[in-house]
Amino acid sequence: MRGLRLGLLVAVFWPTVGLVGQTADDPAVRVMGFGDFNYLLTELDRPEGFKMGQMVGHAIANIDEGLTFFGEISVTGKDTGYSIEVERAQVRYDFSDLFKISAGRFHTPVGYWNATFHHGSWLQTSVARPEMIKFGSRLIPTHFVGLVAEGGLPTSPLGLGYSVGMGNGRAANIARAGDAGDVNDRPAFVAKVRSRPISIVGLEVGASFYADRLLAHDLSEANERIYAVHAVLDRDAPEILAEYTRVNHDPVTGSGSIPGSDAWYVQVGYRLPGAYSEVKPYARVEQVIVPSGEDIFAPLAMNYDGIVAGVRYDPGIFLALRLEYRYEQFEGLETTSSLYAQASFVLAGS
Amino acid sequence: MVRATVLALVTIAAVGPIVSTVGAQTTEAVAIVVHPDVDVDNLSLDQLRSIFLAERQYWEDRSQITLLVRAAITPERDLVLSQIYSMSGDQYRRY
Repeated sequence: MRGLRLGLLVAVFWPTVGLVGQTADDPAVRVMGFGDFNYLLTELDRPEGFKMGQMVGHAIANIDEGLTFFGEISVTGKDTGYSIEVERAQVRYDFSDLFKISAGRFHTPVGYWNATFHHGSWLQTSVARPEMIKFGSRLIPTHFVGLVAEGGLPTSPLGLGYSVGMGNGRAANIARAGDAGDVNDRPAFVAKVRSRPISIVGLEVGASFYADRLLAHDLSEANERIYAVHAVLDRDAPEILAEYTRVNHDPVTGSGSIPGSDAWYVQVGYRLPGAYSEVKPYARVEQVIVPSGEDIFAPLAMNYDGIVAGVRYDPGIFLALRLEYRYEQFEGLETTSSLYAQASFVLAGS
Repeated sequence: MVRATVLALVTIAAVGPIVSTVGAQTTEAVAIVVHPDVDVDNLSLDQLRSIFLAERQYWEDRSQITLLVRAAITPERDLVLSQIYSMSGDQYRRY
């Protein structure tokens, strides 16, 4: 819910106003926008040159006391034109800090990145997400349609919190959420616990579990179990993000278990001190490992090794420029090098 | 009726009832002020941090906390960022 928090708090330190904040007289709807523009040089068999990135709009509405709506819509440039997607749409009612319930379309609360850095690349340090959790990933369902309850014990020293959800799970295209209903009569469940000690701002450790029955490409069904752990120090100096995910599939019919898939990444960054504080070098190592006997994932050629190194430069309050080098190996291809340049920005609204 | 109650950060020269002060090492003391209806007379730094980080959004009586903070050009902003958020300005904006 970081995006929501940003929306609520951004006005607090807005430089042009005096005593401000969220009050009963505030506008009922706040809007924010994100965008990015890119240039790509690559050895991959992909079009090079300038690329429109993703334009993202956020709207946060206070409907009533404790009742809010949050919406996120993206417009993405593609070879065939522009695609418009409802990324998130959530109605939430807060009973207390311990219990808040939401209905709608979410970023699945599995791991850290997916539930923290949403659309709008300005929010994250690197140009793009790790391969294991990129939007459109088939490894982890990045979106979730259903109900989610969440809360925390903010007064506990460990800053314990949780999320639990029930929803539709993956669609027949396993890269997509079940926006139009579940593909079978087995709902998906997700649960996450985390500790965010209030005395160490930015530190979070957590574990997540996701269970669903999915429809495989050969129209057979398989039970899916995802286990994820993360440990992060989400600060500017240093930034350390680490996640590991295991995905197991068990065919509903047939010969028992098949080998599980693993994915992980470690990203480090450090914003330079003093006169160079606009500069933040970063690096990431990542891997997706799908064994050949994995009947669901192996035909999709998802194995991946990647090393990413880049520099983020923040010349303005809401503008970030990045130069990023990637050394990657996609399954079935030779290792390749790519160079990305990106300008990302925020349009802060009312 | 909105039951939201207010937590404000102001310079000590402008305060009403003082609940707690932080940043004693700074040249200008800062006071944390809550609405008189709120039954809170002391806040630790960790409690204050949990409120400013939006981890805690409700008082014990379940009334919603509303933050009021003076403008960015005032000394309170630097104090809040360094003492409460433990963040740089850039990191705060990203948060």
